[in-house]
Amino acid sequence: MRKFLVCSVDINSGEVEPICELDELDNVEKVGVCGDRLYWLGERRSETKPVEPFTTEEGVTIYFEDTGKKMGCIDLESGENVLLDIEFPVSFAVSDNGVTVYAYKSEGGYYFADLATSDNKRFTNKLGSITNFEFFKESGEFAIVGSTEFMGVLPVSKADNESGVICAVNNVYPFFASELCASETGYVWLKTADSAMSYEKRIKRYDLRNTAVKGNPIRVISSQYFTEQPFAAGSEIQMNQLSGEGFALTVLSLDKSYDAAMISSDQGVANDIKEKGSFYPLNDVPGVSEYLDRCFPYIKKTVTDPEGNICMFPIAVEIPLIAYNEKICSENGIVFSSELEPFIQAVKRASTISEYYDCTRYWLVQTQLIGYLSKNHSFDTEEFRRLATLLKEQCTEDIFKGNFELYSALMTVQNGMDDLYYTSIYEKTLFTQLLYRIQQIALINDENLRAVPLPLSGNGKSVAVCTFLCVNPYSDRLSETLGFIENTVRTMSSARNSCMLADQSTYESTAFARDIYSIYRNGTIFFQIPTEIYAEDFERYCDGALTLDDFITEADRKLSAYLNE
Amino acid sequence: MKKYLKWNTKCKLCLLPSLLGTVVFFVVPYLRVLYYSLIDNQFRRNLVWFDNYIKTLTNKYFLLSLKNSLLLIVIAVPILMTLALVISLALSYGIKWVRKTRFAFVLPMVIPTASIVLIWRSVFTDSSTALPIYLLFIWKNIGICIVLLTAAFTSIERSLFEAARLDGANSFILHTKITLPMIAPTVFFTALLSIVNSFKIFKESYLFYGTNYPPDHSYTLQYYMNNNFLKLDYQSLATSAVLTSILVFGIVMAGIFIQRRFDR
Repeated sequence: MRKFLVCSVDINSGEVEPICELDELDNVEKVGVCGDRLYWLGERRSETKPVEPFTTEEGVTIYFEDTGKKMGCIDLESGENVLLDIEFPVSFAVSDNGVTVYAYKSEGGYYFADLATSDNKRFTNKLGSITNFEFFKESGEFAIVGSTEFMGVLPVSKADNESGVICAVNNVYPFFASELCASETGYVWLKTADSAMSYEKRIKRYDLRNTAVKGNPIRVISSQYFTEQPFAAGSEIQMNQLSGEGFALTVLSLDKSYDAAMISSDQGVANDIKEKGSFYPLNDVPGVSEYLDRCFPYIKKTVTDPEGNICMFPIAVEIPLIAYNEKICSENGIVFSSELEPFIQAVKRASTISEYYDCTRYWLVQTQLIGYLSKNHSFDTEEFRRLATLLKEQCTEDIFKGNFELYSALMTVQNGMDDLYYTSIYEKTLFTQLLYRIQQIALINDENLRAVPLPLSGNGKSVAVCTFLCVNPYSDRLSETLGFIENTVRTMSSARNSCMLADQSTYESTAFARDIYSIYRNGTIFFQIPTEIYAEDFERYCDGALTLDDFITEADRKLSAYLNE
Repeated sequence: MKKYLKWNTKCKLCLLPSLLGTVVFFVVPYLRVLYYSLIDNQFRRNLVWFDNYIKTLTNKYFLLSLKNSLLLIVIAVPILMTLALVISLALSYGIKWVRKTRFAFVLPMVIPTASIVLIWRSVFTDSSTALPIYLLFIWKNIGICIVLLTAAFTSIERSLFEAARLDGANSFILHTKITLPMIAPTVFFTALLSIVNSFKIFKESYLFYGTNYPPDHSYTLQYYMNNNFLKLDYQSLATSAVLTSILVFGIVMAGIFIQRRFDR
């Protein structure tokens, strides 16, 4: 435990006047002045203890512990310090007009209460885990909540159990977010990290001027989990993942209860949605056409139907790639190629040198088959026979395997963590496959890495998976949803490393970033055939349960039915 | 007259809830499906009249599915009816060991489909023909057919047989002149029910093959419709649904027509 001395400092004269001493505290996280009182939030780690679990009405048991946080109040005139009787305080915020609101944990959620009138409490359990909040913009109207994975905006008036936080910024890691500063102009300064695994903290400014906290949540449905979620851009998003049949039923029944649907180009339904025009055309939404003009041409071509309607708005594009340590690979004679056979040889060579590489058979086979199907409508070709034989004989699981520790090692070392274990792995890592854009961007500043795509399909392009947002034309909140799209476009237009924008100046300047840019520039989007057509039978062929001719006959039959029924 | 009218009105009032339900849950949705089959898509809603029907009727997979569905009717239903008749006769006319096994015939109706398919998959490993599906259809539906036909057999008054025997009728004449005409309405009804049930074999077939694209010999109308549903191709789905309903309606009307001719 330590003692803290609270002083007032005259900025002009530099005179320091002690006010009060706070003792028996391990840490003071936050201070704020309201009128002639100074409020503080501190920690007594010796008082950390588990609390009896709480079971919600839905039957979910929530475990948490008393972290020993205490909140107190110092009278600035008398210097008297009073410990406030608040159990499990989390944080507090002082507005410009003298309102002090504090939050405390209880009943599986958080209560927000005005310190002056404790009767005016609001409860919500929709915020996940919060660490800090501040008033910003118009005082008394908004609060920013710093949480473990994002920073959002929560209107104080909506701090109830009906609303959730409006996600204003993604990928913020305020693990040590006691330092949070906001201005009335709509900017927020936060001491944060670059990634979830980084200890290197920076002060970053976030522009939340366009965060519009009004309206109803945007209800988004999908039939699968997406690594890239729609960015809220000032709205609350309610994601609802349905089954395949449930999704189809909801769309076909012209249901009004959802606002938008998230669809991926690797879903069989995506192409039909584009062709049928089942969703609202976004051509007239401000910024959409201009944004698509700034994207790589293949993206705009994909989302535009033959009549020029844009019914699908792309929010993310992903191309699996190999990230390799240039120095270590060149020292070991490992050279990557965009051709399949040399690539296989490179991986085989790696397998004789070290176990510190990651390239799973499943993804290599998938990308090859998907690439083949992007330009062929039959498996009965010489090209496929060669490909299938090569994949069966050469891509075995003893060589093409995963090592998931490598990504953690790359992440931790890139972000300056002093972890000997991961550092030792990093120094031996040859290469790892990165399937998702989020993983690729997290490493984009690594000076030692380079990137190559997985072997290209016959047309020399990498097949990208694109996630689209489609607006329900029958939604009872159509204008709000279109407004959300407009905000999303505005936010995405200024994003860096989006892997969609063609302007290379919006990417980092490392060699790895340049490689990623080149890979995405050389991409193509293909509305994929459902894997049930061929995947299981192909595995049976590789296992020897099916001959190649039998596989071709069966797969062609299913493919013909899928394409022509 | 007043009494008659009052009774008539009461009957209509009793029918009204059921009629309302039929209109709301059947007629209106059917008309809506009909409308969807005449437009290009739900959003643009341009009337294309019978373009969707032409497209569907010339689609080789629709024709394949139609052929397979009709084959199921033509092959499996007569076999089902014949077996059901023979077993019902045995149950009705007191062959002891058959009567003791009556419970076994009803069992397929109560066993969950997934359990049946599990057994079927372990027994029928060769999927080069549609035989497993035909047998599954027969095995699953024989119970209800036996129940209906047995009830029909046992409802025939014994006195008719006694009177006929007294008049010198032999077994052949008894069955052809008394039994068959008496059970004919039930036979027709059971046949129509089996035909309608043949269109519902999708669940069993889907579980058996485990895919939306079974072998060509088992690709029935429901697969065609289900796959178009999953692809959100509502126009193909609506069109094929309307065509299927016309087919079933035609079969039912043909059955009624034949039954009335037979009755005369």
